[in-house]
Amino acid sequence: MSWHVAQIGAYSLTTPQNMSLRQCTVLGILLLGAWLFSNLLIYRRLFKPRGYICALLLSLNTLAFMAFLGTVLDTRYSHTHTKQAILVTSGVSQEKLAALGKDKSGYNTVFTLDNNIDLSGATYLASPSLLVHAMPDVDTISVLGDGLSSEQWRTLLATQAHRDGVYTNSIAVTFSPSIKSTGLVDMRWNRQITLGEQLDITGIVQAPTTVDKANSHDTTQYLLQLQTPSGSVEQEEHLVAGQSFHLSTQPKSAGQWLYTLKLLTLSSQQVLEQSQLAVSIEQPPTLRVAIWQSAPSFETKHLKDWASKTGSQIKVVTQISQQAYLRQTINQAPLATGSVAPKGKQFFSPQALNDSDILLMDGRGLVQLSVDERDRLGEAVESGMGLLVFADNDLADSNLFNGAPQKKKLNMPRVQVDKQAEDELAIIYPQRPVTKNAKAMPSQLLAVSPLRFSNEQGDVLLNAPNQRPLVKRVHQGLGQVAMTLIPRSYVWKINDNQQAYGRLWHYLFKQIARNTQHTYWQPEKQDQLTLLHAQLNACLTLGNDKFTVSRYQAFSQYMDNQLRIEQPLVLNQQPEQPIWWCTHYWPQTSGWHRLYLANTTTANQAETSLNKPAASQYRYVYSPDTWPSWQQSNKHAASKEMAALSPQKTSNMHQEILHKGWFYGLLLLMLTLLWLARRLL
Amino acid sequence: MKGKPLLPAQRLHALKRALQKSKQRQLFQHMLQCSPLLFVLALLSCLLLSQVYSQWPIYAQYTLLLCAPVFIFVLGFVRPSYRQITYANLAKDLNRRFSTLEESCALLFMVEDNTSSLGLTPEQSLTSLQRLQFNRSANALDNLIHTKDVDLAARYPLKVPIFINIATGLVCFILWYFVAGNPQSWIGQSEHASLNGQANSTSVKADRLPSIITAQLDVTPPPYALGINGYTTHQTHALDAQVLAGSQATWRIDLSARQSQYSLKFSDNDSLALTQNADGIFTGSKVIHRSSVYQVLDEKQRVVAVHTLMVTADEAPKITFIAPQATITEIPSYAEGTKPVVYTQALIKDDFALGKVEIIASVAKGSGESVKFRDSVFTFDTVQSIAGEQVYNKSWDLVALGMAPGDELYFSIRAWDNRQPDPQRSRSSSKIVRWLDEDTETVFSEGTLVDNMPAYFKSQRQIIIDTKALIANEAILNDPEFKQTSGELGIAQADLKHKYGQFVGDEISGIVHTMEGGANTEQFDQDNHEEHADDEKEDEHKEHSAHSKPDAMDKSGYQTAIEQFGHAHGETDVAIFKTQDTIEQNPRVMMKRAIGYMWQAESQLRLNRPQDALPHEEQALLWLNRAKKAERIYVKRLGFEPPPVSEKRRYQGKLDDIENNVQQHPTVQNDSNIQALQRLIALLNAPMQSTVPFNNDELAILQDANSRLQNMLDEDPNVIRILALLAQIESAKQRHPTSCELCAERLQAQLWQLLPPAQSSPAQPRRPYSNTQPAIKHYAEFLRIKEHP
Repeated sequence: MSWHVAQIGAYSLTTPQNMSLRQCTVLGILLLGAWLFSNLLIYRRLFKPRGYICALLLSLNTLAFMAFLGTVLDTRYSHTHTKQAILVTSGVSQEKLAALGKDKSGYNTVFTLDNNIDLSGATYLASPSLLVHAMPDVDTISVLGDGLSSEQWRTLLATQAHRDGVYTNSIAVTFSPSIKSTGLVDMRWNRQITLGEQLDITGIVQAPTTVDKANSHDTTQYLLQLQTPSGSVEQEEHLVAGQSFHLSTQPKSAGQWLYTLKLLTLSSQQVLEQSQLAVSIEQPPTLRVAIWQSAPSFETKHLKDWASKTGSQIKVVTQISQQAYLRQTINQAPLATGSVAPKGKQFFSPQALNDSDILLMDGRGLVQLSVDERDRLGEAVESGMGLLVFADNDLADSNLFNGAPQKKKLNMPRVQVDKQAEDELAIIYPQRPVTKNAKAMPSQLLAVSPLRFSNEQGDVLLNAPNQRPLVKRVHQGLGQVAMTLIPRSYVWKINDNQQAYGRLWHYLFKQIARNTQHTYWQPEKQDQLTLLHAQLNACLTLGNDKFTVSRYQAFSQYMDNQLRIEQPLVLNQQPEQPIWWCTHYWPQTSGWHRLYLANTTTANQAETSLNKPAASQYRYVYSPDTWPSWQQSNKHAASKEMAALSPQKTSNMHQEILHKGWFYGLLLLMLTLLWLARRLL
Repeated sequence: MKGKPLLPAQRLHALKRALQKSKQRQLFQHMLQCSPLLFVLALLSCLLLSQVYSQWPIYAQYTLLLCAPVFIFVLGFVRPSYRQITYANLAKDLNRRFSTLEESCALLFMVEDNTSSLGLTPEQSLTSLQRLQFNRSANALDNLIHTKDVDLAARYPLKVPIFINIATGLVCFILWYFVAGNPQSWIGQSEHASLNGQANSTSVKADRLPSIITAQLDVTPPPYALGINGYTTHQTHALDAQVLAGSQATWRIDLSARQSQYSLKFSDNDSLALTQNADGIFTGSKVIHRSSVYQVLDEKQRVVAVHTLMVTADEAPKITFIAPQATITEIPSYAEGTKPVVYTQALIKDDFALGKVEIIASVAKGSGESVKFRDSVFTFDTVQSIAGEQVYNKSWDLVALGMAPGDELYFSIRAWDNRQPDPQRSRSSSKIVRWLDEDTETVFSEGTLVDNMPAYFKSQRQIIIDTKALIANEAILNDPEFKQTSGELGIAQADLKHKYGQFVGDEISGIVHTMEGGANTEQFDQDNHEEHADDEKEDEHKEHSAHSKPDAMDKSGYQTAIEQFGHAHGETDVAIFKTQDTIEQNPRVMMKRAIGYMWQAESQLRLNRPQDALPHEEQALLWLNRAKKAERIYVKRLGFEPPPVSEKRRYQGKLDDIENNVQQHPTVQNDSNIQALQRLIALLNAPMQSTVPFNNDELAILQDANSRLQNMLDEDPNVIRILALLAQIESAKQRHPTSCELCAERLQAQLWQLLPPAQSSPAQPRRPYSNTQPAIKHYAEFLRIKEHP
């Protein structure tokens, strides 16, 4: 704490920091006394013989005391102006750099984040967070070039809060964006998928003249190529600037793969951008499927064949006459003889239903269930099981929708008979981007039952091109009840359209079946890049597979110069979602990183968890020079948003402490003169 | 202790001894100081020379280890510290050590030197003062010499060198024990250990894997291909080669270890033992027929190297017809002054040379079931060389072949190349020359018609004859008789029409009797036939039921049920193929056209207008005959081969309109092969296990994939590249062999191209929210919308 002593115009005198009032008073009295006493001595000795010399010496003595005061006390100079930090980032144009060189304003300080920028007088900052440290009284940050990413802004603002003690967004931000580079922006793709899933890649082509991404006047034709991990071109699209694209591909094998997107000019075949898309493809976890049907059907037969191929556990019970049931199990132990006959009590026991992830039933089979069995079914659905009902006339005519006596009423979409509704229609996936020129071929049509959904309840899983819902789903407790109007999807399978068949049922099972019971790492966000030295966030969702976080340790594993390095991670429980445990770290090498849980920190036990997909995930860390256009676009957007949200440019009162060297020099000079005078006189 | 004064010579001798002893001590100290270097050198030679530079002979190490101490010892003599051991320095040392000498030891040496060299006595060479001092020093020195405990030789400290020796020796020993003694931790050694799997620390030298110093592959194409298309005998230093099938490959390999047996093992499990020549080079020779990966193995069956031989197959001759282009060439009916000649021209070429060329021809005569074939072999008339290609010509004189109108000639070309020992044969597509018939009368007059119709059916010819007779007798017959005859002919025409209609899938309406039932004369009842026919039209299915009898062989009743209730629907393949000049039609279409004319004829006959019916009847007969001949072509083709789609009709494979670079590669279709390759690719794609050697299970996956790929080799020769990469990885037992760092990446890329897209399979969902609390549900929905706007 300092004490204000005097104010002379814009200059103010204050005591040094942490000097107590008593010390100030004693010092002041001593100084005043010394000054008076010395003046008195000078006066008495020299006034009479040499009056003018006496006056001169008195002045010198007073000046010396003032210099001493200036040396001891802090002298502050107050003035009003704007202190601007000019932050030059990569991508800045040469014209702006030249203009910066001509700017001689003393209140502007130039910083740069790019070591390669040739700018004399600029201070290089390794991180934007150092800006506030380097220039604590900055009023305005003027960003030139590509700008800062949202993470960089966050760190910069965090240090600003550190400067002011409390967070106040007091720094004005202006942004002068660089010229947009030609390349791919707004990219989205699934970073982690299971084998058999489709990889959808969307994005937009950006060019320097692209004013609005959706509406560009640039007519340059670009060629976009998707290259497989083997290097062969799998898909091509002709695009213009600002046009969005959607590419789909079906990976061929599990593992960690790098696809390549290549953007070329159509005319000259000049490569404008070549960036890699990292995709981690896991083997799909198996599913426990149960089928209960009132009569054999080709649909369930083909479904059973398809699902059993990849090891899913399947049990099928088919009613072949009034009291006879045909039992079949695949990839699991056979059902005990008579376990389902005559009424299937065992099949609909809570334990059996809990052992199934999804139950497929025909409408008649559902209608024929007893009230007790339907109750148990309702309870199983509420506890997480998925139920898919093949709608039929029996179901539509039944009283299941109209208050049948039931404790746990199944909350399912309502259907009604409509003879006119029988049709052959193509399938639309509502959540997937619609491909242009998506004209359905006759082989892509599927027969639809003469039924309609009669209310708006539930969300639509599959649509027809005319927006008629074909499969709807209703949430009930932790589970889902879905109903399909497609009775013969196996037509695709026998017509050699197995890819479409598999995709359809993979999608439906994924939407309806019981949620996983295993612990797993949540997939990466589709529209974010994990960059080297940038924060990597990962969250673990705990399942019911007896994972105790206290007993397990999370690790990050990566390769560095052929050496496998493991780094322990700290998991923190999320207060809003107790089953989420999140961690973060700053990757030190680019390439594939593996996050996993291990029982202990020993490497051997970590190895044993290699084959546990639930607790292991691969992520790719990109080097900072990849996806240049996308990163530039993100930085532009973040910097523009920051400039819009920041306060207007203001001028602030600034105080400068005058350097004490001048006072000290003056003191020495005065003392020297006084000493000379003492010697000479 | 005072001893007897020594003589100068004795004193000099004692000093010389001290000097020699000092030099010995200095040498000993020098050796001790340098011996740590020897330890290090021994360790390095043990580690580096024996492992990395294994081609260095073993005696080089011993020579090095023996020479080094000698060199260091010699070095000790030229060392300045050794050369400084002189009498003067010894005197200084004695002066420093023994104060009794009073710093005058040098005086003794000077006197001794003068005495020995100049023969001067001390009295002569010294001043009186020096003499006095000399006596004092000499006495002191004598006393020292006499004293047993005094050592005149200079002392050289040994403690520090000994300590350094012990420390260095220990460090070197530890290094040798833990590095050289443990093969897994030593990079150079683990390379070879991984290659042969038999690393043994106790016999490192014995298990050292030999390496190829130089190699040469001599390829001699088969004799018939020598000098053609650039195939000549040539040598290559690369052991990977592409050779013509049947070429003889001779390997000349110089290996680092010559006292061993080597062999080549090919991917088809064939092996070739290499024999050693007098110059130490290993050679072997083999005729190559099939692409394969081969390994150079030593006597312990360890893989020294892996290479590939890709075989270019000798292609069979290619035959291209220049004329006629169309499959069927129709020659118009014989006319006066014109000679039925067909000109054939074909371009036949082979990648090396043609052996024999001939034409196989068959002449078909007759019609229906009485068709007769005559096969002959012809040669081409002339051979022209046009633009370096052989064009073969042949003129067919149909009359000279013994053909007549209505007959047909089928021919195809066979060509053999000059491959040894088994020439390859190619056969062209069949061409058909059809000498068109003149007219129905001609056919009729030949009497070759075989009427397979039962007697109760009038044939079309019979109907025409009867119609002509009716027209001729119109004046003779009265009106009722004329109408009755005309009506009967109409009914006969209708029966025939229905009969033929059955063969082309028409409804059997109006037929009044079956073959099994025989001729139903009642149907021809003059008075009631029209009404009867009407009834039958109404009850056509009842007729089926009433007249069909269960077959004795049809015990299940299946055939009866089909006959009773079924119809031959859905077999109306009426594709029309356009030929060069006319429309070549399907026999079924011809039959339909004939039936159409029958309809017209029937209607005219029933209207008692036989004159109007006659042209339709003749047309019907014309088309029936054509249909029969078409059937004959079909019969003949069974014996030959179906004529291929002509060049005009087939797709030409032009890619001009395709505007993208998307590459389509052949994929594996077999499910088990797909799974095996998927397992292999997943095994290779393990970023965190790139340095971990394969375990037994993983090696089994590699072997399984290898055997499956071997089976695919016949269908797709490019698989050889995959096999070569796989063999290197398999032999190294790790993903990234040191000899081929990028093998795994390249293999993955090749396998990726081979695999089809993965099939979707059922998978359990991973929803991040399993809680049903309303707030969390809303938040989850908000996130979902944000994720999928």
